[in-house]
Amino acid sequence: MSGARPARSRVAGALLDAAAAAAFWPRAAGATLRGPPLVDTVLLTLRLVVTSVPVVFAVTFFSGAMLTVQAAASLAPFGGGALAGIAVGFGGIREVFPLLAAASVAARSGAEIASQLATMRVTKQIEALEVMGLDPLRLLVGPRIVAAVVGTPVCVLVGCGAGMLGAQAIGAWQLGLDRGAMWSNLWSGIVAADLVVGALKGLVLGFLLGAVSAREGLVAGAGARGVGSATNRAVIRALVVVSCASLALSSAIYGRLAG
Amino acid sequence: MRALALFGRPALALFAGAGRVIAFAPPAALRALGSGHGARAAVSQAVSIVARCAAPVVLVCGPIGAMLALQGLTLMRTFGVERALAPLCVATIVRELAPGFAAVVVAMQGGAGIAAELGAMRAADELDALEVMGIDPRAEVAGPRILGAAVAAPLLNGLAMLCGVVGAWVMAVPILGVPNTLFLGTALDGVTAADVWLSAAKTVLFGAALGAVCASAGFFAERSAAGVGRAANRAVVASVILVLVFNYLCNTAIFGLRGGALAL
Repeated sequence: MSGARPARSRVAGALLDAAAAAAFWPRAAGATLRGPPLVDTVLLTLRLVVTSVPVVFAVTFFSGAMLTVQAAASLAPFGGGALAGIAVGFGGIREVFPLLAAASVAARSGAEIASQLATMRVTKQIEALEVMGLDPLRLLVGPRIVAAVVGTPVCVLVGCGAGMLGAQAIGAWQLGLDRGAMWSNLWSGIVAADLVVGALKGLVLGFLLGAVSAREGLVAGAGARGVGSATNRAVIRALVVVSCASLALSSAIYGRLAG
Repeated sequence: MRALALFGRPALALFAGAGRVIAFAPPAALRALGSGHGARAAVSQAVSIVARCAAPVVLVCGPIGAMLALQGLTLMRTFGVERALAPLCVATIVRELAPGFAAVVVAMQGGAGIAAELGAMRAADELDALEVMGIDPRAEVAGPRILGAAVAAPLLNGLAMLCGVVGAWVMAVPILGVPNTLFLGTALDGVTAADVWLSAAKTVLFGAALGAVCASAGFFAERSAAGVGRAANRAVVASVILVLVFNYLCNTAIFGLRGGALAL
């Protein structure tokens, strides 16, 4: 079906769709400012944090563990264990753990936002709201965006802690490094500002992943198939947007320090 | 008692889910391999997964390579070992970031797609229709997708390596001013051919595992629109976690044996 169309129109279609998706972001921001319903907002925020935190914990704990095993092996010629702790702590807190935490929130809660809104679209609940003169953006999208914006920084900080615990657990138990030295090496490259930057990145990434997921849910196609492919598109687009935005934020914040 | 239920219920669900995947996926994949049509379908599934994941892999792994170079250089200029940047970036990308993030992209794009597709077929009673016609949907529908993911993941891993290294080069050389000859001259010092092969082998494993998880999530989805969405969601979460756990276990198997002998 799509293979029959010439490549140029497919690229143009993809770009148009990306532009339409980006055009939704200001509308999503507007929806949060029009006063989303309080009770829904609080419940959805709690739900996002409670359901995403275990996923974030598992993902970042094992990525901390994996990075430590890898770094200890790679950095052995440069002085091994001490440098591995510093590198994992530094690279993990600044980049890897926030990015993976946001990706996990996108996978757990972003996909859920998309599949809920898509189900409502497919079962005509959103049209029903519109017919009754109610604003689905304010009632449905607003609370979910607020939940993502509030919940993602929490998840980023949990992810930073879990990643450090993973690195420490592997360093101490599997690689046999000194526990106290490992823990202080891990934190030696980090200042409090890095955690603040991580949380701020979490705010932005949370808004983006919430808006991307909500948009994909709202434009879902018909039937069970539409819900499935909306969920799929939401997850992968959120991942792409989150990793590009994470790079943009990092280079804006840390770029001039390196130069 | 309540605490036991709180932790026991998810644990039981986890074991039940894992058991279902193990009972479902390997026979499905083997039967697909055994039937000529299943094997051909696996090739076309692999092609379609590669086609759908290529753009996201480029868009995710390019920035990650650039981020690695940015933070790596910050750290290395502190220690005055700027010349170690390129080998460490390339080694980290080839060994870890490319297989890890390629597998995450395959999980989120290809895996969620598998779960959504099979879930929709379940919801529309198409899988039952196949069974009534005497066609085994495990061998003909689920198996080829599992095999396709296992074949597509290493191919996308190669693309991810390329994009990651290009991203790191773009950040290091034109933007941060590392000499081009230094970067290119030392780039391959950190990796051996064995690293590339091990990385490819890891992604075959990741692809097969996430294909199995996503196919069984879709295959056993509830028969409703909401059920299909939940199946795709569950499939993505489970396969991302699985990829990272496997990645750690693989690293321990590969480096942990040597890790004991590190001069610390």
